[in-house]
Amino acid sequence: MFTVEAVTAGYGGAVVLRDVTLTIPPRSVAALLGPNGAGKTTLLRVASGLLRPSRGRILLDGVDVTHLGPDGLAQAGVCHVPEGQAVFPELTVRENLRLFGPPGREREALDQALEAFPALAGRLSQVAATMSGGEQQMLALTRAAMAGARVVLLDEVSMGLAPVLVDRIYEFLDRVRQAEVSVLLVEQYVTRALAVADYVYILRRGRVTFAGDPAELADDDIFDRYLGVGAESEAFV
Amino acid sequence: MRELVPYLVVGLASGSLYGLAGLGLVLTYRTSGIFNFAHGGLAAASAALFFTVHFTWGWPWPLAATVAVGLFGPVAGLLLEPLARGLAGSRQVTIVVATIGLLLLIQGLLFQGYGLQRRAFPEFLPTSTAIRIAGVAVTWAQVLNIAVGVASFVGLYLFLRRSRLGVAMRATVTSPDLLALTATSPRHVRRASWIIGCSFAAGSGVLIAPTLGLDPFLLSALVVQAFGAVAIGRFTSLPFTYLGGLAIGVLASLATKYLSARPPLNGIPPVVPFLVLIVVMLVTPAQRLPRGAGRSEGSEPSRPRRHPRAGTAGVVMAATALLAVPRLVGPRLPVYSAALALVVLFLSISLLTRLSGQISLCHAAFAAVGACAFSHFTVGAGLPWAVGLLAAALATAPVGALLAFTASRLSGVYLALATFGFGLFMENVVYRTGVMFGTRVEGLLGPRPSFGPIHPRSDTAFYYVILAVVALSAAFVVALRRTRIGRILRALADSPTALATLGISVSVTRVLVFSLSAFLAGLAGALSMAQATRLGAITFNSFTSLLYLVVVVAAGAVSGFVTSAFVAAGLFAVVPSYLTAVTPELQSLVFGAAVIAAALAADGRLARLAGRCAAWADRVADQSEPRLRNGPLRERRATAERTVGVHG
Repeated sequence: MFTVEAVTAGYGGAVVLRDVTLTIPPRSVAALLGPNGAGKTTLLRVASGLLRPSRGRILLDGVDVTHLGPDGLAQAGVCHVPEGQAVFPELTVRENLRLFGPPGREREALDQALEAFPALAGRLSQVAATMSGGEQQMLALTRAAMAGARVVLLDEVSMGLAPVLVDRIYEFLDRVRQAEVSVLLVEQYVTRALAVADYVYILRRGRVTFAGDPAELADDDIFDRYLGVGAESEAFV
Repeated sequence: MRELVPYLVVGLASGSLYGLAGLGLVLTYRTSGIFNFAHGGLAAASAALFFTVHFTWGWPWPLAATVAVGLFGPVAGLLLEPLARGLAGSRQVTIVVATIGLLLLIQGLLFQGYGLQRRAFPEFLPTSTAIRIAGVAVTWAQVLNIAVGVASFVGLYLFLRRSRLGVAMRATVTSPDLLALTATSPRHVRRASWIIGCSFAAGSGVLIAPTLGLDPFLLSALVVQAFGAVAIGRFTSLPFTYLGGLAIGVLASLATKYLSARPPLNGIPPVVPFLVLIVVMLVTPAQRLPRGAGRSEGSEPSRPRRHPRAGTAGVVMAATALLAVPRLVGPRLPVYSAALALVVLFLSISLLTRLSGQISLCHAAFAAVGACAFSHFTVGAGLPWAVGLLAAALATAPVGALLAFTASRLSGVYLALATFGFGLFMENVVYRTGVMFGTRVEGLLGPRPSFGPIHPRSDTAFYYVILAVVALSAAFVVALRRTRIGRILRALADSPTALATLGISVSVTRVLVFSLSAFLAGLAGALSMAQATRLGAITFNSFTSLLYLVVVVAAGAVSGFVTSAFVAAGLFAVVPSYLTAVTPELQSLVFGAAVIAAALAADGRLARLAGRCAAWADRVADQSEPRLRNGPLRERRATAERTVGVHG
């Protein structure tokens, strides 16, 4: 069980998140939706320890882990795949995988990664920055497949990818869920996200404006109301 | 060809150590983003430590080397990592000045401990012949220098490729956040790289000391060679950095052979690394040079405005005090006159550094140009005093323009390096030509003015002449800040990109501000020479430029734009005449420490830290006393948050 409890956070003097609470049980996927600037990425940064909340707590199975910092949280099993910069661009794929896995268990980590994305096997000596966007995204996602991940935070993992690749990523997501993992998914393809999610949180201007079952959002009217203007939801899909 | 072999051997042996120092510099710069100007200072400190342990205490040299490298290096690394972390994200000017402050601090400590006199540092390694190459005896010491350099390079290269920590070091260059997300602390990784980098500096310091002697200046200048090596590696490549060190060693050695008997060209060998550095930076596209951890943009945070009438009252009081100085200070008047001349120089540095966000590490050279031109115009060509003064300042402006034009694509740490190199080149080559000081050790003459009631022998009359020039310069700077040009200069510090999008050329603006600054510096140099009546090249050496900059920035941390020039001159020139304990060495120590503290406190970081402490105390109070939750403090914060608004 992963809980973000009453978190208020921001940058400098600007407050981005106010009193946000969010819970993800194990073996489930929560989708985090909201318009641009709602604070989705900031929430993930708080959840993985990159940003210290000014108040509120992060709980992992009831234990307060707020002050562990990003590396401590990662050791505790929180795996955050940030948007756009989720691989080490100047390292080879093999070196990337080496850093992704826990120290001393590099061989194991490599096997798990290749099992999840066999296509990477032929690319182990390639420098990550020279691969295509989709390949880089697969490399980034191998982190979620490695043993020890208990919470997976995914930020726009399918952005800019070909539809066939997006399918692959969602298949992968389903597999991850099977392994006692809590997944928090920030996604631009709303319908796709709703189809896979067990819970939905909608964030607007730094506050949670909806929390509940995806089925409740089936009605377009409600969906629009929670997200804001109707035109925005068009742009979303 | 055969006669070149000894020079090649010497060049490779010393070049190997330059490369070693360069490797440490690249490693720390790339992993932390902080370019450490004090790298050579660390080498000097380690050599001094070795000197004490081996020569004074009599420990055997392997043990002394263990202390000076194996112990000192890691300790220095552990101390520097938090400093670098504190500096990351500051303005680039702040970072450069802070590491220069560290260099001055180390030099000051060494001068305190070991005295100003250069001490002989006997070769501790066996000097018996190891092998003969083409009939030339190569000593064990030379073989060992090369072996240590090669072994360190190969070791570091393999470490960065093979070990997990090494791979993490490469990862932290571009993606420290992602590294943290993969459960490796970037702080630990950087700490390790500072330990390695400082140990490399320490090792090169101990090994080069027998060649240079125990002289903090000379040993710190090892960093100059390292700069050249690092430039050949384009601030990124380790193999090219090491090869660059070798190349610089060989080039300098060959230059010594061919140029040592031909003044002024005999000044070239010590500046070879900087000639290389400047050439590399000029031919390398700016985007190929790695970016440091500093912000390239962002002007100095403006200080709260005082009440206008309080400002006027302050100016009147200060002016009265300055006018009354000759009546109050008696025989110390020349000290005050010298300090006033420095005020003009410090104004010129403030104009460049604090207003326009540029860095110059060659202001002593500008002042020297002004001083020489003044002497040549008045004593040589017989121009009237005031005309000579103005002409000297005007003659300096193009030097600034030329420098800005040549370095027009460089900013931040690269501009600092280029200007420092320019200063060294001026000092070692141009100062020695007839255009400037020539080869006369006693220096050049500068006359005092003689017109109307002003008698050339009267110190009091001359004090008022300088005061008038200072008043004009200050008025000029104040007026300049308020004009359109002043706003453009502030914009240059704030955001060169925005300036360019407005259709204002960044290069032209920089040429302009460098010319203006050089003009004032030349004026200051001419005044200093007239005040001292005779000045030699030694007054204007390159390390003085570093001290000037550091003093101005340190004074700027506690006082306003124009005031800080007076404060800096007072601290720099007047205080030592009252407190004999305040030697230049102590000054360099104190100013070095002050400027590091100022850099760490800059950009409102202290305020943020205080805020974080308050928030933490609040949280603790919150948890222990739930009743506080709806207290007035909480409400006030909520209101504040509403007014700030939300930015996703």
